Amino acid sequence: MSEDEELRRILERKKAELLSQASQGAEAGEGPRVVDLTDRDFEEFLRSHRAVVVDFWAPWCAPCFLVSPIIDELSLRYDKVAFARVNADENPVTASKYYVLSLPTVMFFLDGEEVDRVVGAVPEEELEERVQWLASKL
Amino acid sequence: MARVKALMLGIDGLSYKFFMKCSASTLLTLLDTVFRGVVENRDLQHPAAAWASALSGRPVRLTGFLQEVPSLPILEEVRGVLINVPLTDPTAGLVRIRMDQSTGLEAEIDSVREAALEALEEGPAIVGLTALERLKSYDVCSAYKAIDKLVRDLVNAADNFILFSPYGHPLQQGSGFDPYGVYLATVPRPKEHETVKVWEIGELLRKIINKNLS
Repeated sequence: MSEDEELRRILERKKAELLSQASQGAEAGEGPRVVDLTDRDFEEFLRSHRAVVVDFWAPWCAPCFLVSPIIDELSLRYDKVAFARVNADENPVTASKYYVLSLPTVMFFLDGEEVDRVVGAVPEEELEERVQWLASKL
Repeated sequence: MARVKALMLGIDGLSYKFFMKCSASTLLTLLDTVFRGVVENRDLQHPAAAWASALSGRPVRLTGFLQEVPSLPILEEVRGVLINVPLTDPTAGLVRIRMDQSTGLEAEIDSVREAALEALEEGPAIVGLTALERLKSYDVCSAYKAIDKLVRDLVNAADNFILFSPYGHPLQQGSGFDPYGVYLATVPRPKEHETVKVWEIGELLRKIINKNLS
């Protein structure tokens, strides 16, 4: 293995540890357990958590601000599910890869695969139903 | 010539994040039916700075209240009636409220509603509501429901309106406000895929008035 390859693996392992610690730290605290992800760490986050809910948003998107507090609250109630947020403007690679064409879009992943998505601002019950389903698969 | 019934209603501290949680029906309906956007304001979070910027069409950096209302370009041009605008302390215009805990939300809303409805009979009204940033503690959903009713009454009385908040909800640590505020209006925001800057709001009011006069 080359030094570069070894360094890359160490960095990736470290990043996964940090992401995991960030989630656990939030669990211990009182704030929402939602991790901000970028194009650089999105896939790693998916790989390191079995059930993931991702809220795609942008600062100019008013309905996104209706959904984000719901995601924050759900993150506090479902500690086996990992919650993340992606600014679609700043992370176009991820948004484009998952065909996020409208905002807000909330995506649900199980074992790295998309299993559901909700587009637009919907009531908390609709999102919670899906999170419950996701949690039931763990 | 009849003057335009245009309303610029600024509610300091109003945030989208409580619209659904508090079932604010008028605000949710407006979100679905009129032009919408997000005001982004990170460094003009003093009420006087935010409002002076909105009424000047450019960023105005202030760290305290003004002694009196200065000559502001957009204010001069639209000749709107000022009501409870926090450029000064007490607020400026037909309703004057101290920027402290001495006036409750309901009392402020009642005074503002009466003055604004009367002013809109004659022409443009520039109206502020400050309780969400002034008061240290209140039940958020009760406050949003009361504001929702005020918005319904004032929007119904106006031909055109801009409802905005120059910044969002106060942050828990007491260090300023959420930088994201509300923009709901009968005029679209300047750029579809960008946030609205607080100094662009007065220009949008001018656009409403000029459009109605032409």
